[in-house]
Amino acid sequence: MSTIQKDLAIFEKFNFEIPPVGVKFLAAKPEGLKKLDKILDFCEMLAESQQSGAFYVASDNFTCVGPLLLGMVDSEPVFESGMVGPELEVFKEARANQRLYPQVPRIAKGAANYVAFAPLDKLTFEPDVLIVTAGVSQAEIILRAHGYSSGRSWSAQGTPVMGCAWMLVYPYVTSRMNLTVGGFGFGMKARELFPEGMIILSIPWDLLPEITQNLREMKWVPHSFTIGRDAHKAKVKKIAGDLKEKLSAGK
Amino acid sequence: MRDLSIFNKFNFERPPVGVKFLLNKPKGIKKLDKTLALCEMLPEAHKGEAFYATAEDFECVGPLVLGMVEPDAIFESGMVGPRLGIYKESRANRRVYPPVPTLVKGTVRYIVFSPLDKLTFDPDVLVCTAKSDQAEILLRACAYTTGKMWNAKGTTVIGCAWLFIYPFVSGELNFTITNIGSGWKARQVLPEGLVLLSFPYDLLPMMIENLKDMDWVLPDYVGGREAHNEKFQAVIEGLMKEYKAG
Repeated sequence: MSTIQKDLAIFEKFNFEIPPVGVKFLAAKPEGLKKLDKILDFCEMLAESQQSGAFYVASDNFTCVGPLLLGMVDSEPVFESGMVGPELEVFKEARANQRLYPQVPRIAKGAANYVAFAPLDKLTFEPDVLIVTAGVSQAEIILRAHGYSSGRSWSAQGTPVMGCAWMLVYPYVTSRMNLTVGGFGFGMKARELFPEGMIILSIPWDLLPEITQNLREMKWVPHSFTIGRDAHKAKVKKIAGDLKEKLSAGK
Repeated sequence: MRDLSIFNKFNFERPPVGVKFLLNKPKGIKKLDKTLALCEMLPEAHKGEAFYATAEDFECVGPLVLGMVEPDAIFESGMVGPRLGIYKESRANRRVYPPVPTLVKGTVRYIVFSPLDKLTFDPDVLVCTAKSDQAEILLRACAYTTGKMWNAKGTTVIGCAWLFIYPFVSGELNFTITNIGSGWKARQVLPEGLVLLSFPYDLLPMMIENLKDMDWVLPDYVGGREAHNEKFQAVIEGLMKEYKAG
């Protein structure tokens, strides 16, 4: 087990149905990884890694808008003009589709000539983004770990197309976690990539130490989740009452 | 009153619920006859009858986020969260409060809930309880003519503020998934895995028009992956040809 795998080993405790996948954006070709031997869309590469293991890709491995979002090409006028969306009936007019492009997160041109993907048990590199495909109760634990020591709020940003940008690039360029739901987003739904209703969380590298530490420390299933609705309500009432008493005594 | 009947076409298992924030007592609507948390008022409205609630009808932080009461030091100091195992320390829980959307103190004395088929008022916020494929249609409808992104927000606790109040004060839609928030999960408010989407009144006209206009289930969703890939390539090639010729 590599050091990286040890650092992220806490995620194995979830027994995810679909393994977490680490993603890395590289200027230089990665060593010790094989190149993907097919042409896929960016979003499909995540599913490919979940099923088939570690690999890297270069600009010639992509279809769709991946190279544009990764800064591998200058521009894609056919896409950026917004003409594709109405053809696929996702947007009414090109101007609605066109409006997406300035908002969508991208990597600076030339900064990511290669992208490496690896499922958790095959990780040999420190991921820039970790993608976790979770059930709702598993996602609840990760979201709670995300705010456990910081009180940080969560957010879920996206657009009906280019879900890959929000899932893979957004956490990298913003340092914010993102989430989406399996079945949201035109491309991922049409390509049947992720099971309906699964929660897909993408965590940037700089949040991982805090989240893994909190996962080690906190109770994954708090007492209140096990006692039922009425007992939970009574518990909160007692806590608030006790604190009120304490506060009054401290005056 | 706005025609919201297009939402009936979804055949939601639980009806959409209209919410209104009022300074004065609503007429023709009965008062809630029990004490509930703000989040629990949603499934109460799912049962089929409209009702209104005032400060005395709440438990938990509802009155605080609705601006019905003075700040509550016990909750806002962050001391409750660590005792429930939700936050490590009170300073983490305390940090949750300033960004939480709230209504200006004293501006709301009554909150009204009504299922879609009993609506007698124009809702400030419409809350849909959807499966993920229904939620996909709603989110697409919000961007169909505008290209607008979604930006859902929430915190581990006080999910009620993000669901009911955030859309009203921001003009933006919000969504969450049942049981990814602690209060909703501990109170067993709704079954796990439903998508709760809340829409402010000013987004509804555009959404309704788009829902009337667009295809709900796109051809690419029914043909399978290969058919989609083929169609996609054909679309790109056709557009590329036009681009080069132009």
